[in-house]
Amino acid sequence: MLLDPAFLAAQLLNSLQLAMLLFLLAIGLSVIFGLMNFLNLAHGTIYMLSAFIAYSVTQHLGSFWLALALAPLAGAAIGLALFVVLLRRVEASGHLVQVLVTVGVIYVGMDAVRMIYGDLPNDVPLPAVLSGTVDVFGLGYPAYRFFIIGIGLAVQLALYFALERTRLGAVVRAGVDDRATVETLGIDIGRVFRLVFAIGAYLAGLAGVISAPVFGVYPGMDVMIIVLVLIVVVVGGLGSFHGAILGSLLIGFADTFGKILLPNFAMMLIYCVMAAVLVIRPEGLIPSRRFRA
Amino acid sequence: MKMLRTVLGLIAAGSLAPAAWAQQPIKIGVLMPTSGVLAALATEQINGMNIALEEFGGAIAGRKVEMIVEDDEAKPNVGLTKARKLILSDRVDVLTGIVGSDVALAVRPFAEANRVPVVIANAGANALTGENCSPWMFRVSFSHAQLVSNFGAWLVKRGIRRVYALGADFVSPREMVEAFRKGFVAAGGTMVGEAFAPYGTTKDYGPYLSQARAANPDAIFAVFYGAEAILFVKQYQSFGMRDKHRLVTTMGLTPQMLRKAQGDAAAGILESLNYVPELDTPANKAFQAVYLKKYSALGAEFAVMGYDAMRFILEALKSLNGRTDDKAAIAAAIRKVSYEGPRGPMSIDPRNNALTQNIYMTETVNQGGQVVFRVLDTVPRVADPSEGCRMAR
Amino acid sequence: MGLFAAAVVWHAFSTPFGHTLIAETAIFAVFAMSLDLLGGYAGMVSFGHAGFLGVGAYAFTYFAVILGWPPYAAFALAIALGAATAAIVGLFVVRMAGVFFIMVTLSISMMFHAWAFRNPTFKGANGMGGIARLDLSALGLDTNNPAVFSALAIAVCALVWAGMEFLVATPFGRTLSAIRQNQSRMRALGCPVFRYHLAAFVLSGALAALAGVLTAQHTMFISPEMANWLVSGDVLIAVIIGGIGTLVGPVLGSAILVVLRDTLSSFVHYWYFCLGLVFIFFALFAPRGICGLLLGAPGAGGAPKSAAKR
Repeated sequence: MLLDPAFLAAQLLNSLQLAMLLFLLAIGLSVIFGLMNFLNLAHGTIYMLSAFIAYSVTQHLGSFWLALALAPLAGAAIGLALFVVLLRRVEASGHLVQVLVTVGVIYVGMDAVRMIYGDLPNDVPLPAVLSGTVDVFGLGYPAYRFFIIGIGLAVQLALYFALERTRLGAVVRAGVDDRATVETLGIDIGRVFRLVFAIGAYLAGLAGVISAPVFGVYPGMDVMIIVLVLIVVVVGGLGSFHGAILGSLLIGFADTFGKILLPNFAMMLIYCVMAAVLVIRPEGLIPSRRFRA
Repeated sequence: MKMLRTVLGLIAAGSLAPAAWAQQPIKIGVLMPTSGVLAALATEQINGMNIALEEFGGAIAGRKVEMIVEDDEAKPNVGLTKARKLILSDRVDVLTGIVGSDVALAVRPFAEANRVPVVIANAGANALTGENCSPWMFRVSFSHAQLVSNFGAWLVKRGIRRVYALGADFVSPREMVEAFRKGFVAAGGTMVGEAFAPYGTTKDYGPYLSQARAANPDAIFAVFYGAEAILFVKQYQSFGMRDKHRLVTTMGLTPQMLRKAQGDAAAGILESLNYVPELDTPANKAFQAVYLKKYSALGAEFAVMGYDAMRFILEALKSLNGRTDDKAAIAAAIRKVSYEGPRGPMSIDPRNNALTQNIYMTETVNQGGQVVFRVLDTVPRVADPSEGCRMAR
Repeated sequence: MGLFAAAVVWHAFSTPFGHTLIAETAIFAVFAMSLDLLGGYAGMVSFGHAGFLGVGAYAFTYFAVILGWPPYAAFALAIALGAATAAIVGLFVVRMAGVFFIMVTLSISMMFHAWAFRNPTFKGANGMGGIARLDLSALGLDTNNPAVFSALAIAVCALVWAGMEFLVATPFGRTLSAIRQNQSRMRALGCPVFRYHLAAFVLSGALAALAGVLTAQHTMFISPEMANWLVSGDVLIAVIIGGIGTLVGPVLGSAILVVLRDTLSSFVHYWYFCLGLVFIFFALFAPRGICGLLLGAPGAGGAPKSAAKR
């Protein structure tokens, strides 16, 4: 059965789809950590809030595409506001205080959506044009999942160009490698932080919107995914774009094929993978220069 | 400050000298996961309890009946702490509610030691009326085995002979699948595979759906709850599998509260259930009318199980004329309760303190834009087949 | 000292349910102190301590209930097993730093959780009951009496606290603190940092296992949720709120967290919201925890930074 091309293709696509989603979340978290040394556990909260906003938009304005356009922007706005009002103040307080404040944000966010939206899980319906199946070796595969993969690839390309070809990208890369020197060059690092944080939040919001029709919209969805995202970040290598890509692919494939090939160990598998990677390469697979030994 | 007030309050509550019981209200403790992912379900169950309470006018033999609700967060240690509070501090006469089987198992020894009867309104693990049964614990909801033991044979009669099982990986779905498998195989069916998705992590069922499809079953027996149920049903539909491999299930996959989110993906599923709101009996119509008026919604299985739990307690107390000083008498009275309720005939099986109830074979159909149930067959008075209960009579 | 007096007063005036809270607080405080030893003094913040809690609880249950060995032996063995597990895990894990250490300890505890979740001997996700409390009737003490048990819990907590006070003042403790403050300098001075860190890890694991055994005794029930990462997060927050790097801090933080969690939900429906606001408040205005507020001066140290080399 494993060698059946239709089955293999389907699982391959499943892995890629999960990897794309994880990448969208991991890249923001990773660069924020690499650049600002800030462990933002509340990244998942932005993901969740954007998904809920997407739900509201589809409910009241009737269009998924409008939600796709608006919700990530809302996510970026919320993320930026969170940063400026709250998180910036604890940036220098060390990881523990950052854990405390971001867990506080997670708790507040969780009950906030319950207060506004109630306790029931909500649904964002698949956009009509993408609700069919595509023929893959004779079996139908959901068209929408191709869409997720497509968006993921588009974002990766866009980020690659931004990082490699723009000035801001150069500043970010330099800042992740050696922040102190960048500051001495007279660059307004505060403005760069805000921009990076906003873009990271935008991507988290994008992940929330595009995953909503498949993964649903409900309180606690951020807690469910944040551990997996942290694992991707750590395995891939902190602050590293290529690391995030590699990490998300590795975890996406490990999770999908692990569930099929080793069902009894499915729960443990990802943790074992991470522990194994860290024991062999303690800084992750492709760490940015600052974190290399 | 709050802590001091709380402590003082608890001291005051605990040191009230026991007055003559006739003047005191009857206290019923309700343990429910009122925060977290099960909150909506908890609310529905408590609504049902309120309806039962109102039916009795909120009092038994002149004594007011008080419900004290505590949040067990669906965690056994928290449930135990709150049970301690209800029993030791609030001095409840009876305990009810309990959604999580692990919470029920944790609370049981404590309730037993303090001689407080427990009437379970949900938790379905077989062990609770099996090897972990207790003369102080009753269950008026269902057991996993009870819900699906007749399903397999019924499906075989409809021409479904190959089934692949998919479920969330914890006790409840596993017990359902096992009970289903026993009945199905005994009736001549073949299980072509089973897989369980890790609980509480990512909700991508793509890998499992692809794998199930590869085994070419006639039907997929799926057991998921809550948000997972919504996602599974939608993802199942997105893979376009319905024509070749239809979906069959039991309680939890398409309850009323989730069907709006599932849309038309919830139609066309065969389900073995202990209740559907569409049951056409006078008792059920009356219940639905009251629920609709009070809560502007349809009262589904969780509401009715809450209703029945409270009703069993109140009927028992009524038969004792509201006396709560003899706890063993309350337990004995609960065991003897029987009535014709919204679900059908209700009675307790003295063998294991479990409920004997009708099981309905149903199908979900799309009716004017809404998905409703259509009852196809009724299996009357199904006893709880959980094994291993050794209760002294 | 004042804290101990306060505990005694609380105990004297408490209702049966109050005793449950006291016992829970005292046991959580032991757990928190074990984390603070590792995180506050040795500078290695673990996000997986719930794993050791679970090891202690499950080991005790295995020896005492499943194998039926005498409870005292089971008690000691469970702690020993906690220490042994910490030793084995520590060999691999202790040389990592900062965020990586956090993630690996998290994964170890989740592996334990996953194992316990599916393990039939311990009844998997349902959890297992039937754990009897230690029989101290020879001393005239009925441990099933909530007041007696909570008094015992306070006693154990006080003992652990005293032990830690002592340890921190010994050369071993002082060296640990020095390593935390400047690891490269200590290494340059020839200090075997790895061995010290491993020793701290083992001791911390053993203490957490002790807390695990006590928890099993308290609730008379074990379940995989004891080792969930959310529990690790809880105890970490308790330590941070109380004041990391002090000894009183974990105890205070535990008291606050336990009382808030168990009583808030009776008054407020959306209590996660309130709890979250409390955390944010502390992070903004009292980042060194209550001890930081009260004492003004920092304890044995503030939050350890990540070990990224600059």
